[in-house]
Amino acid sequence: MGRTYLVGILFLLYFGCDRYPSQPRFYKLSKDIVVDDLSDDLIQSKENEENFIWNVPKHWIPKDKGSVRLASYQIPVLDYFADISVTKFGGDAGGIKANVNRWRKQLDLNPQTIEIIQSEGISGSNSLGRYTIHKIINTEKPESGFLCMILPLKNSTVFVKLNSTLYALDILEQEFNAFCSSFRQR
Amino acid sequence: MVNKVGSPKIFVYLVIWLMVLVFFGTIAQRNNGLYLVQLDYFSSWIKWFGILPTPSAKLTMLCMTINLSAYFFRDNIFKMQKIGITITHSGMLLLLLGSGLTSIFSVEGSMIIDEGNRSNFFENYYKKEFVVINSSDSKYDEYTIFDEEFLYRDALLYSETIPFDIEVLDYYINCQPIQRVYFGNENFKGMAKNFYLQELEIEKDYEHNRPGIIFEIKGKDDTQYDGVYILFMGQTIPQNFGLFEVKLRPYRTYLPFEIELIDFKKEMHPGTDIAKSFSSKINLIENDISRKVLIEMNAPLRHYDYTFYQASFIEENDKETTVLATVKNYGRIFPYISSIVMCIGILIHMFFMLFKNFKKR
Repeated sequence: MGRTYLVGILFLLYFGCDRYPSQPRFYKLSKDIVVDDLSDDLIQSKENEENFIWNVPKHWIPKDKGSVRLASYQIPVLDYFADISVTKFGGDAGGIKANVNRWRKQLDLNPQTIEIIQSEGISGSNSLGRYTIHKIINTEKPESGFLCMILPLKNSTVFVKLNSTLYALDILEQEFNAFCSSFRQR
Repeated sequence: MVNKVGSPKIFVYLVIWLMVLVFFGTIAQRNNGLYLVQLDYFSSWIKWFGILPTPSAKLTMLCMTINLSAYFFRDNIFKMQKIGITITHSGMLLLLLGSGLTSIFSVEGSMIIDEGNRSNFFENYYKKEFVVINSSDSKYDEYTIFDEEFLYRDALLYSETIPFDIEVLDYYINCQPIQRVYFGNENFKGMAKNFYLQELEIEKDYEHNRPGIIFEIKGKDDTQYDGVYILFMGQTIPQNFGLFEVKLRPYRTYLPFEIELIDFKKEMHPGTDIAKSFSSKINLIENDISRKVLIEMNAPLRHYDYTFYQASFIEENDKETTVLATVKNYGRIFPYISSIVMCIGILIHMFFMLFKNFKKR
């Protein structure tokens, strides 16, 4: 009888072991040692005539920048490409309001006042100075939307514009923020 | 009772059945892929051949364990004439125990490290996890992890560590996002506004599947409601809920140490692009103390219960990345010990049989 019990206990022990927890797991990780999904894939931008450089995720594909742009990239997102461009113009290039409203017009949106534009813009900074990021979308036109950075310098203004579908904007927003914050002196 | 359960005939039938499973499993692997066949033939309890339920390898080996265990409840097993058989039985049980431990606790995956970078985790080839990250603390990120078995239609994911509940509307092992013809309703948020997920057939190479999840976020009580989201494996960015972030990613196992890739070297066959050998020079960093180790194709690194094999590499532009196949296996040592024990047992038994035959003459 005792032996049968022992065999039964062995049987229960075997079945009792479960490799999967029945509760969600929980842990804390220091922000310092978390491997950033974006940071491991960065390369430095190619030399250009400006005195600043930036980091480019390695899956971004450089494309012909033309005569106006400092750089252009294609970003693969699922089965299509988003476009991102870096340009620089002298002075304030018309200012934040004129530029944001110009982009809004491209998406058939009404112009906004400078107060609204500034309140909706997200501020950030890199080693060149403070910049603002503007997300410009028209929900009736999901095929196109912009994420734009405006970085005023001493005698010029740097613009970064990401053009993609609304869905891709969501995906690329963090990458775009990291890109904007990587601008620095050469 | 003990004699019936421990009958050697049962053991012989079970071994034959295992051979049958291995034979058909090997054939099935060609069409269904290694991982799915392992699940079907070996890791499940029942293997269905059409409408016929049969014991899988797991159940068969459990029966073998019970069958062999019954031997130890017999009388006189420690007599000199039987000691060899007893030791052999112990060795076999040890082998089965080791395979049980491996089956239950072992984890395998790959650790991918760029030259100059370090990592303290490896990712499972097949299993996924749904992660809710609370990044409100300036020093720490809090991770609440729901393993893949939590992810099924109508499952409710909740935890004291997150201030909302998540209802899984659907989970696909393999899917693709398709653009909506019509704009999603106001409850759809983020990617779900413009896309829906289309389920695809499971890939033969299971690791090539791209899972996706459709889920709904709502407050702990029924009065609050956030919206419906979709997450697709391979996307960089999940949706944001204030300071919370969610991700669908490969199941991660964190290590109690870090590995830094100092240098990756590869040697090619002369005049070809075919790799002859490759190796990773690494720093094994533990408690802020590092030591240099070379991992080569036939010389893995073993540390604690982890083994790191040089499996592959990635080369892009001027950057080299090493891929280390990583296995954590508590039962690693059992086959070695049990083989020795069984050999000793058989030798003793043969010695006594020989002695007995000489005595008869």
